[in-house]
Amino acid sequence: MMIMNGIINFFNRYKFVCLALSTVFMMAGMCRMSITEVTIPDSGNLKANQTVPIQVVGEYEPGAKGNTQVVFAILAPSYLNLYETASLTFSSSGFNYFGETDVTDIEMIPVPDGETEVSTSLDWSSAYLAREGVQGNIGGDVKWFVFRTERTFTIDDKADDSLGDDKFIIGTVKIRFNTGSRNAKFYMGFSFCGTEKGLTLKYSDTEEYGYNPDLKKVVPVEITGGEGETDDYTVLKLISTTPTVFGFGDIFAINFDAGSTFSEDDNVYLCGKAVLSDGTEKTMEEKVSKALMEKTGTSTYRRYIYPKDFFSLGQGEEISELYVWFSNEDGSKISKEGENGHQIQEAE
Amino acid sequence: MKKIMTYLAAAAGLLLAASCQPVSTEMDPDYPSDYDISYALGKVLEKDPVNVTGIDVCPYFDFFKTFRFTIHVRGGKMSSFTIENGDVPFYPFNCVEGEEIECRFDGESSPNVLRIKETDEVIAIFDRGECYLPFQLDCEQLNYEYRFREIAE
Repeated sequence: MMIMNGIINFFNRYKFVCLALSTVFMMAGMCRMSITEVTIPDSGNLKANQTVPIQVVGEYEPGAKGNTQVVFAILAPSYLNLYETASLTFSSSGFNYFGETDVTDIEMIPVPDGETEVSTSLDWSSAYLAREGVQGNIGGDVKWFVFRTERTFTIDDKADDSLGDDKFIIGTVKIRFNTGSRNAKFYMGFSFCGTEKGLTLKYSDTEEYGYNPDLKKVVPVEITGGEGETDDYTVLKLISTTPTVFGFGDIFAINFDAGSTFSEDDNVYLCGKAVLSDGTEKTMEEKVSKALMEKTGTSTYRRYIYPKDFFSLGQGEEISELYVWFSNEDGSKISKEGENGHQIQEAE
Repeated sequence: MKKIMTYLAAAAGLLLAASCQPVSTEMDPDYPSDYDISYALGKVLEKDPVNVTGIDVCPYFDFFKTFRFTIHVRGGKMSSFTIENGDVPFYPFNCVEGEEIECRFDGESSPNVLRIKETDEVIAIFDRGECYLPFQLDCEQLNYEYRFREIAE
């Protein structure tokens, strides 16, 4: 009786601590859906022009019954074009608990065009971008490259009840990709899911299945020994574009953080040089309304352009390279990178 | 009392008779069957994978003010349209400035659309009281929409 009273008193005194601890233990038991390991050579300090092996291990609790292909996504700079330069294989253990056969090093393929993610109806790359964003890569064009197994796994949660609900699939993806010729610094992201539930969120701990952010891991990567200065994707550039992906035949904004180059009263104008496909150059330095930049902050500016209109190009004239710089009205203050200005890159 | 009941019965009879009249599907003869609907650009949305609902770029370019889209209604049906591109340096699809292009209203698709006659090509979409025209320019990841506002000309 005294012991019971002691327990009751203890619970009354520390009831909130007890509740919190029990919640933590319950969540710990349920949160085995995650990427547990990312193995990348030299802690992500990679050399240019090399083929690099990366291994990612994840635990996943699939739905009670269903048919799914395993999906694996990699966030990387778009120029790396992993659909062309990377090869991926998938191995598993634990499918036997769900009435399936485990696999070893089966090939993963880029998700074919036209296949969409179930919760967003977007193509897979866009769906990942909408769900997970750019993960700190604010200074350049990055992309979620999404792969999947060709094999569909048929899962039955009741196939082996000897482990109760404590059944998970452990998936291992081995990636080999070429680091390319450029020097770059960026965050590389990895994520698992399945085609059946896609990125449908696991909303709460009462919702048994679904995607959760632990099924993603992000690691810093720096590629050195290649061409040019390091393109740092992790810091905001003084000059950026909206949207980040476009062609020279699209409408886009040039965003510019001038720092202390111009004073509060200066009208700042966008200037540019277009190299056309036949090699001729067109320069635009007129201080006219279509070049006047809109002030968006203390030292930040923006100008939307349609390049053909900005450079007054004729029908059939195509831009192959584009450079920009900035000037005040009388040209006494100019912000220009190098001889040509800052190069604006269109989507490859 | 009997008089009141008689009036009520007569009124009910009249209402019943009126409700049994077949509903006319004919257009009001005083309403013109030939007229034009003119649109200017209210918004030009640019949609990309990050900004999926779109950014309105219309205010940043004066040339969008000069664009006109006119639907010609003949015999009570949308029969053709004309695009006057003004100073806009691109066309939303292949067409000739000011050319009247025959079209048909497809009320069976949802939302309703305006198609070029004898093709499936969609020119404009009518959805929730709005008329808009989707198109692309260069990059496949970018989609544009002309969102129209009706004007009196």
